[in-house]
This record gives sequence, structure tokens and C-alpha cells, in this order.
Amino acid sequence: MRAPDSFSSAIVAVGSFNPAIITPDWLEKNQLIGSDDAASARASQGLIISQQVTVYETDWFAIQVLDNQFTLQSKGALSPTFRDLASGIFSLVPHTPITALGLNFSGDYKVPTVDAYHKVGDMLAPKEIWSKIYPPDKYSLGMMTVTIRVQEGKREENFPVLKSPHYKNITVQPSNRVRSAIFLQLNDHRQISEIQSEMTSAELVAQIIAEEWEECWEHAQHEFGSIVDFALA
Amino acid sequence: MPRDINQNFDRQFSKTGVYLQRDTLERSGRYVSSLQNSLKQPEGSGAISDDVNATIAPSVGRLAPSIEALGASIKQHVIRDADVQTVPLQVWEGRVVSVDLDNQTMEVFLSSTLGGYEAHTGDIDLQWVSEQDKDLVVPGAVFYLTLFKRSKRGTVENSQELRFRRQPNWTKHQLALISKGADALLAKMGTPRSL
Repeated sequence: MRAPDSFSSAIVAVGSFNPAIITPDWLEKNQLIGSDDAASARASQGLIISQQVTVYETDWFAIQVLDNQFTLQSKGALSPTFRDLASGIFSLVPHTPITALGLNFSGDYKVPTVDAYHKVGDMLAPKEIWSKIYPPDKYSLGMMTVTIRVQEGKREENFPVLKSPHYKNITVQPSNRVRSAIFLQLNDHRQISEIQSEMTSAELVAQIIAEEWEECWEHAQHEFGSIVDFALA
Repeated sequence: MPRDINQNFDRQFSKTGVYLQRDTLERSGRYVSSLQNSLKQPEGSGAISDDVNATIAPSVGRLAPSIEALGASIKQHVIRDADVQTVPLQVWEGRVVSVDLDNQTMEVFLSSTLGGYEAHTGDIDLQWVSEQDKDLVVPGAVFYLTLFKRSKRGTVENSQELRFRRQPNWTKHQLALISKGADALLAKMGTPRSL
């Protein structure tokens, strides 16, 4: 299995948040980060803490909270501490209404040659149709973005596709961080509903992150490697 | 759990003092060597890289509340040090078995969460635990040891990071849920609570 050259995760939730409470001091007081991390967050460039937006970062995560959106982005080496932090935050705000959760993973995969680089794009987005409109002797064609939605069940049962409460979007693009590399991203999207659950939506989110984030990481890494391998086979 | 750790693993200390299995060290060396080769760019790749820069516009102002859009925009928006790329090679979940303050070491049990390696025990010097985590070093405490590759402007190095697990205190609501679950279990067993 092909290994990535860069790998990271982001956890995103949509709902109604109170950005002002999720401060570095609050994380430290609730034992989710240590004193050094809290100091690093307080000193971070671009620190904002307000009713409308909270933004700060340490050497292993960056956080951005808006009134309708929560984003936690990993920095540096990804580790389960990232999951614990996200899950811990949501378990501390159990009455926050949350409508959707995204477990995101992204990786850059270097390919050995320019031909291989183009082969990935040609396999995922064949150029036959485009070449008839834009003749290759006058134009060059390249794939910029391909997104495939994956959800359980047969395609005819899932129309329109947007109605599924749980699906994955897998996106392939040229990497803009690593030269001659392919960027892949997995967005595991879940609509959150409190119906038929004794838990609040935030508690559900905390539980999903705690129990499924790591498995999702393994799947993402496996699927990314498989996509690149199949495209180059 | 392995019967005898010394039969299963040759423990060696890396530069940072956290012990590594012998095969880890060998793999790391091979990895660096293969990376150095792959860093030699084929001719003409510069043009491709230039094209790539325009693929995702940096998000400006408030992000759209659509999760699909978020993943891509976050990557561009939040990470400032875009020159640094890291990838975990092995991730171990460790549990502190005992702490030897006289020798400043902790005996740990490690199980692999990424990499599929065999679980084993070993000793780690307390000097490799960060100051902020020192008070968490007690028997039973969980930590994560991540071995990773870091690339920065053409320089590739292997490194490792040790962080202790942090979880918030139990909330009243969580305690109430646990108590409710315990009551339900007790009722099923038909045992009076007073016992």
C-alpha cells in the first residue's frame, strides 16, 4: 500500500456555538490541554476570542469556532490526542445543538514521474470527450478536482444522493503543498439527529468522534493508497 | 501480551531517548533513503506545481456552513506553516504500568494503533515526558507515542512525539447516565440496591 507524504485531519461540526467560551484557558481548566499548550495558544499569531469568532492554534492543533461552525484542524504529526481533544470539547458542551459532523482526512501522495502524475488524472477523469471539443494539438487538458460520493445502498435507491444522512465524499486534486503529488481528501459526513436517542446532539457527536474517528483514519489512509495504486496500475 | 519482551524486541534508544524497536530504526532509515531519492524531481515538474497553486482559492472571511466545502478550505485557511509536511509512520497507545522515580523511568505497555505491530512492554525515561504532562504519569495513565516523518523545504527527518491522554472530568450529566445504566443493570439482576 502506497504511503502518504503528508497526512492530516480536521473535525468540523455545524450547529449553534458560543465561540467565546472555547478559550485556551477553558481547555486548560477542563484538563483537555496542558499548561504549555495553553500558553502556546494564548501566544499564537492571529489569536481572536470574541462572541462571534474564536481562533487560535498550538503546535498540534488549530481551532476556529464561529457561531454556526466548529473546526478543529490537526497540525504536525496526527495522533489520537486530536480525537480526545475534539471529543472532550463536545462532551463539555452537551446542550450545544449540532446538526452535522464531518470527519475529514487529507493526504498528499507523491508520484514518481510527470507521466505517472498525469496518468492519475487521466484514469480518474478520461479526456476523450474533452479532446473532441479542445483538440490536443491546440490545448492541454488537466484534471483539477474530482469528487466521488460514496454511500451505502444501490444507486437507484439513493436518488437524489443528497438525502442520505451518512456519506463520504472523496476528492482528488493536484497537491498544492507537495510537488508532483496528488492530494486526496475524505469527508465523512453525518447528519446528526437526536431522534431515537437519549443523548443530546453534542453528546452524540462526542461519542461518534471517540468511537469512530480512528477507524475513519484507517479507512481514509487505506482508500487513498488504493486510489493512487489503482490509478497507476 | 508478549511473554517476554526481550525475546520479541531489541530495544534501542533513538537520539531523543525514547526507545524504538530495532525494525523501526531500520525501517526509518530505509524510509529516509527512499525519500531522498523521490525528492529528485523529474524534469518539467515545476510547471505542474505552478498550475496546482490555483486549484483552491483561500477562504476569505466567514466560511460557508457546508461541510463539503470545509475540508478543502480549512486546509488552506488554518495551517500557516504550509512548508512542513508530516506523516505518522507508527502510532502506539501506551499505558503506564509502573513509575520508578529513583531511576526516572516508567514501565509501559504499548499496543499499536497504526502500523499493525505487536504489543510489547518497555521502559521510557521520564525526561521524554513534557513538563505539562509530568503530573499525569501514574500507573494506568494512557499516552500516545507517534513516530512520524517530517519534511521541511527538502529536509526529511524522522521524529517522535509522546503525549498523555487528557479527558475532561465527568460531568453531572454523564454521572447521571452511568448511574441510570447501573440501576437498569441492577434491576435486571434482581438484586436490591441496598446490597
